[in-house]
Amino acid sequence: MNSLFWSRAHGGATHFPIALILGATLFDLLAFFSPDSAKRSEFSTIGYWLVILGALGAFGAVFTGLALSKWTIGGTGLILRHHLFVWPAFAAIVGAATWRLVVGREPSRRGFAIYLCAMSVACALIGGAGFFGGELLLGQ
Amino acid sequence: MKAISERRAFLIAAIAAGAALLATLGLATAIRPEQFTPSPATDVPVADAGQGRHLFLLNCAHCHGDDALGDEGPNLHNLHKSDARIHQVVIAGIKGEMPSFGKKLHDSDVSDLTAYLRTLH
Repeated sequence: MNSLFWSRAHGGATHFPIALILGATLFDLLAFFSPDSAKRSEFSTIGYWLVILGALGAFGAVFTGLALSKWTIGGTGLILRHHLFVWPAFAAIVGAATWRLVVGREPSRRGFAIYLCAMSVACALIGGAGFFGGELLLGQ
Repeated sequence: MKAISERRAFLIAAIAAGAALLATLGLATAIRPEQFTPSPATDVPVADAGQGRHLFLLNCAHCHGDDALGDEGPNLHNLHKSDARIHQVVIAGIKGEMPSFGKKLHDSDVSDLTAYLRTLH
Protein backbone atom coordinates (compact mmCIF):
# COMPACT_ATOMS: atom_id res chain seq x y z
CA MET A 1 0.00 0.00 0.00
CA ASN A 2 1.41 3.36 -1.01
CA SER A 3 1.62 6.61 0.89
CA LEU A 4 -1.53 7.96 -0.76
CA PHE A 5 -3.53 5.07 0.74
CA TRP A 6 -2.10 5.71 4.21
CA SER A 7 -2.63 9.43 3.81
CA ARG A 8 -6.32 8.83 3.18
CA ALA A 9 -6.57 6.17 5.87
CA HIS A 10 -4.93 8.46 8.43
CA GLY A 11 -7.20 11.33 7.46
CA GLY A 12 -10.22 9.07 7.90
CA ALA A 13 -9.01 7.42 11.10
CA THR A 14 -7.93 10.53 13.02
CA HIS A 15 -11.11 12.57 12.95
CA PHE A 16 -13.29 10.02 14.77
CA PRO A 17 -11.17 9.88 17.94
CA ILE A 18 -10.66 13.65 17.83
CA ALA A 19 -14.42 14.22 17.78
CA LEU A 20 -15.07 11.50 20.35
CA ILE A 21 -12.51 12.83 22.83
CA LEU A 22 -13.64 16.43 22.44
CA GLY A 23 -17.24 15.23 22.82
CA ALA A 24 -16.35 13.17 25.90
CA THR A 25 -14.72 16.19 27.54
CA LEU A 26 -17.70 18.38 26.73
CA PHE A 27 -20.25 15.94 28.15
CA ASP A 28 -18.15 15.25 31.22
CA LEU A 29 -17.83 18.98 31.85
CA LEU A 30 -21.60 19.24 31.55
CA ALA A 31 -21.94 16.34 33.99
CA PHE A 32 -19.50 17.97 36.42
CA PHE A 33 -21.26 21.32 36.47
CA SER A 34 -24.86 20.16 36.06
CA PRO A 35 -26.97 20.80 39.17
CA ASP A 36 -29.58 18.22 38.13
CA SER A 37 -28.49 14.74 39.33
CA ALA A 38 -30.48 12.91 36.62
CA LYS A 39 -28.87 14.96 33.87
CA ARG A 40 -25.48 14.66 35.56
CA SER A 41 -25.78 10.88 35.39
CA GLU A 42 -26.84 10.94 31.74
CA PHE A 43 -24.05 13.31 30.69
CA SER A 44 -21.56 11.24 32.63
CA THR A 45 -22.69 8.04 30.90
CA ILE A 46 -22.32 9.70 27.50
CA GLY A 47 -18.84 10.94 28.42
CA TYR A 48 -17.91 7.48 29.69
CA TRP A 49 -18.69 5.76 26.40
CA LEU A 50 -17.28 8.53 24.24
CA VAL A 51 -13.88 8.47 25.96
CA ILE A 52 -13.67 4.67 25.69
CA LEU A 53 -14.58 4.71 22.00
CA GLY A 54 -12.22 7.64 21.45
CA ALA A 55 -9.34 5.78 23.09
CA LEU A 56 -10.02 2.70 20.95
CA GLY A 57 -10.12 4.92 17.85
CA ALA A 58 -6.85 6.55 18.86
CA PHE A 59 -5.04 3.26 18.25
CA GLY A 60 -6.27 3.25 14.64
CA ALA A 61 -5.25 6.86 14.18
CA VAL A 62 -1.78 6.20 15.58
CA PHE A 63 -1.30 3.04 13.51
CA THR A 64 -2.25 4.71 10.20
CA GLY A 65 -0.13 7.74 11.09
CA LEU A 66 2.91 5.59 11.78
CA ALA A 67 2.38 3.68 8.53
CA LEU A 68 2.07 7.00 6.66
CA SER A 69 5.29 8.34 8.16
CA LYS A 70 7.03 5.02 7.44
CA TRP A 71 7.16 4.20 11.16
CA THR A 72 8.94 7.41 12.09
CA ILE A 73 8.28 8.21 15.74
CA GLY A 74 10.15 11.53 15.76
CA GLY A 75 11.23 13.05 12.48
CA THR A 76 12.14 16.64 11.75
CA GLY A 77 10.35 19.93 11.16
CA LEU A 78 6.56 19.85 11.09
CA ILE A 79 6.31 16.08 11.51
CA LEU A 80 8.43 16.30 14.66
CA ARG A 81 6.17 19.04 16.05
CA HIS A 82 3.14 16.90 15.14
CA HIS A 83 4.64 13.94 16.99
CA LEU A 84 5.59 16.04 20.03
CA PHE A 85 1.87 16.67 20.52
CA VAL A 86 0.64 13.26 19.36
CA TRP A 87 2.53 11.03 21.80
CA PRO A 88 1.57 12.79 25.04
CA ALA A 89 -2.00 13.14 23.73
CA PHE A 90 -2.15 9.41 22.99
CA ALA A 91 -0.82 8.54 26.46
CA ALA A 92 -3.23 10.97 28.13
CA ILE A 93 -6.22 9.58 26.21
CA VAL A 94 -5.36 5.95 26.96
CA GLY A 95 -4.67 6.78 30.60
CA ALA A 96 -7.87 8.78 31.05
CA ALA A 97 -10.01 6.14 29.33
CA THR A 98 -8.46 3.38 31.44
CA TRP A 99 -9.09 5.31 34.64
CA ARG A 100 -12.68 5.94 33.63
CA LEU A 101 -13.17 2.29 32.68
CA VAL A 102 -11.83 1.08 36.02
CA VAL A 103 -13.58 3.65 38.21
CA GLY A 104 -16.94 3.48 36.47
CA ARG A 105 -19.50 5.96 35.25
CA GLU A 106 -19.84 7.99 38.41
CA PRO A 107 -16.49 8.72 40.02
CA SER A 108 -15.99 10.89 43.09
CA ARG A 109 -16.11 14.67 42.65
CA ARG A 110 -12.40 15.06 43.32
CA GLY A 111 -11.38 12.19 41.05
CA PHE A 112 -13.68 13.51 38.32
CA ALA A 113 -12.11 16.98 38.58
CA ILE A 114 -8.60 15.54 38.14
CA TYR A 115 -9.85 13.43 35.24
CA LEU A 116 -11.37 16.52 33.60
CA CYS A 117 -8.06 18.37 33.95
CA ALA A 118 -6.29 15.46 32.23
CA MET A 119 -8.92 15.41 29.49
CA SER A 120 -8.59 19.17 28.98
CA VAL A 121 -4.83 18.79 28.59
CA ALA A 122 -5.45 15.92 26.14
CA CYS A 123 -7.79 18.15 24.12
CA ALA A 124 -5.16 20.91 23.97
CA LEU A 125 -2.54 18.37 22.85
CA ILE A 126 -4.94 17.01 20.22
CA GLY A 127 -5.42 20.58 19.00
CA GLY A 128 -1.66 21.02 18.63
CA ALA A 129 -1.26 17.67 16.90
CA GLY A 130 -4.14 18.48 14.57
CA PHE A 131 -2.74 21.90 13.76
CA PHE A 132 0.69 20.59 12.78
CA GLY A 133 -0.89 17.61 11.01
CA GLY A 134 -2.94 20.03 8.96
CA GLU A 135 0.13 22.13 8.25
CA LEU A 136 1.90 19.01 7.00
CA LEU A 137 -0.83 18.36 4.48
CA LEU A 138 -2.14 21.76 3.58
CA GLY A 139 0.55 24.24 4.64
CA GLN A 140 2.19 26.36 1.97
CA MET B 1 -16.30 -1.36 39.88
CA LYS B 2 -16.21 0.52 43.17
CA ALA B 3 -14.12 -2.33 44.59
CA ILE B 4 -11.06 -0.66 43.07
CA SER B 5 -10.18 2.66 44.69
CA GLU B 6 -9.68 5.71 42.48
CA ARG B 7 -6.09 6.03 43.61
CA ARG B 8 -5.43 2.47 42.50
CA ALA B 9 -7.30 3.16 39.25
CA PHE B 10 -4.97 6.10 38.65
CA LEU B 11 -1.99 3.78 38.97
CA ILE B 12 -3.58 1.28 36.57
CA ALA B 13 -4.33 4.11 34.12
CA ALA B 14 -0.75 5.39 34.27
CA ILE B 15 0.57 1.89 33.64
CA ALA B 16 -1.88 1.40 30.73
CA ALA B 17 -0.88 4.74 29.18
CA GLY B 18 2.81 3.97 29.50
CA ALA B 19 2.36 0.46 28.17
CA ALA B 20 0.33 1.67 25.17
CA LEU B 21 2.93 4.29 24.37
CA LEU B 22 5.88 1.96 24.80
CA ALA B 23 4.22 -0.81 22.80
CA THR B 24 3.38 1.58 19.95
CA LEU B 25 6.78 3.22 19.82
CA GLY B 26 8.50 -0.13 20.25
CA LEU B 27 6.51 -1.67 17.42
CA ALA B 28 7.32 1.27 15.16
CA THR B 29 11.01 1.07 16.02
CA ALA B 30 11.02 -2.68 15.42
CA ILE B 31 9.29 -2.44 12.04
CA ARG B 32 11.13 0.57 10.67
CA PRO B 33 14.67 -0.77 10.22
CA GLU B 34 13.46 -4.01 8.62
CA GLN B 35 11.18 -2.53 6.03
CA PHE B 36 12.29 0.98 5.32
CA THR B 37 16.02 1.41 5.90
CA PRO B 38 17.62 0.73 2.53
CA SER B 39 20.70 -1.42 2.68
CA PRO B 40 23.48 -1.08 0.10
CA ALA B 41 23.32 -4.83 -0.41
CA THR B 42 19.66 -4.79 -1.48
CA ASP B 43 17.88 -3.47 -4.54
CA VAL B 44 15.56 -1.13 -2.66
CA PRO B 45 14.94 1.81 -5.01
CA VAL B 46 16.16 5.16 -3.71
CA ALA B 47 14.62 8.39 -4.97
CA ASP B 48 16.91 10.06 -7.50
CA ALA B 49 16.86 13.86 -7.31
CA GLY B 50 18.79 14.09 -10.61
CA GLN B 51 16.14 12.08 -12.40
CA GLY B 52 13.57 14.19 -10.55
CA ARG B 53 15.05 17.35 -12.05
CA HIS B 54 14.87 15.78 -15.50
CA LEU B 55 11.20 14.93 -14.96
CA PHE B 56 10.58 18.40 -13.54
CA LEU B 57 11.98 20.10 -16.64
CA LEU B 58 9.88 17.84 -18.88
CA ASN B 59 6.58 18.10 -16.99
CA CYS B 60 6.53 20.93 -14.50
CA ALA B 61 8.89 23.71 -15.61
CA HIS B 62 6.33 24.77 -18.20
CA CYS B 63 4.18 26.26 -15.41
CA HIS B 64 6.48 26.46 -12.38
CA GLY B 65 9.50 27.88 -14.24
CA ASP B 66 12.82 26.23 -15.06
CA ASP B 67 14.18 27.26 -11.65
CA ALA B 68 10.90 26.29 -9.90
CA LEU B 69 10.61 29.83 -8.57
CA GLY B 70 7.15 30.11 -10.04
CA ASP B 71 5.61 31.40 -13.24
CA GLU B 72 2.04 30.49 -14.06
CA GLY B 73 2.21 27.99 -11.20
CA PRO B 74 3.49 28.76 -7.69
CA ASN B 75 7.05 28.85 -6.34
CA LEU B 76 8.09 25.34 -5.27
CA HIS B 77 11.09 26.28 -3.15
CA ASN B 78 10.96 25.55 0.59
CA LEU B 79 7.82 23.44 0.30
CA HIS B 80 6.30 22.55 3.67
CA LYS B 81 3.97 19.89 2.28
CA SER B 82 4.44 16.24 3.15
CA ASP B 83 5.70 13.72 0.58
CA ALA B 84 2.24 12.16 0.63
CA ARG B 85 0.57 15.49 -0.15
CA ILE B 86 3.02 16.21 -3.01
CA HIS B 87 2.34 12.73 -4.34
CA GLN B 88 -1.40 13.31 -4.12
CA VAL B 89 -1.24 16.68 -5.91
CA VAL B 90 1.01 15.41 -8.71
CA ILE B 91 -1.05 12.28 -9.30
CA ALA B 92 -4.54 13.77 -8.89
CA GLY B 93 -3.88 17.39 -9.85
CA ILE B 94 -5.89 20.32 -8.53
CA LYS B 95 -9.22 20.96 -10.17
CA GLY B 96 -9.09 24.10 -12.29
CA GLU B 97 -5.48 24.83 -11.32
CA MET B 98 -3.14 21.97 -12.13
CA PRO B 99 -3.46 18.96 -14.45
CA SER B 100 -3.26 15.38 -13.21
CA PHE B 101 -0.08 13.45 -13.95
CA GLY B 102 -1.44 10.14 -12.72
CA LYS B 103 -1.43 8.54 -16.15
CA LYS B 104 1.99 9.88 -17.07
CA LEU B 105 4.10 9.43 -13.96
CA HIS B 106 4.62 6.32 -11.85
CA ASP B 107 5.06 6.31 -8.06
CA SER B 108 8.83 6.08 -8.48
CA ASP B 109 8.77 9.13 -10.80
CA VAL B 110 6.86 11.14 -8.19
CA SER B 111 9.37 10.03 -5.56
CA ASP B 112 12.19 11.28 -7.79
CA LEU B 113 10.34 14.55 -8.36
CA THR B 114 9.77 14.93 -4.63
CA ALA B 115 13.44 14.25 -3.94
CA TYR B 116 14.33 17.03 -6.39
CA LEU B 117 11.83 19.43 -4.84
CA ARG B 118 13.38 18.75 -1.42
CA THR B 119 16.69 20.04 -2.74
CA LEU B 120 15.21 23.44 -3.58
CA HIS B 121 15.87 26.04 -0.89
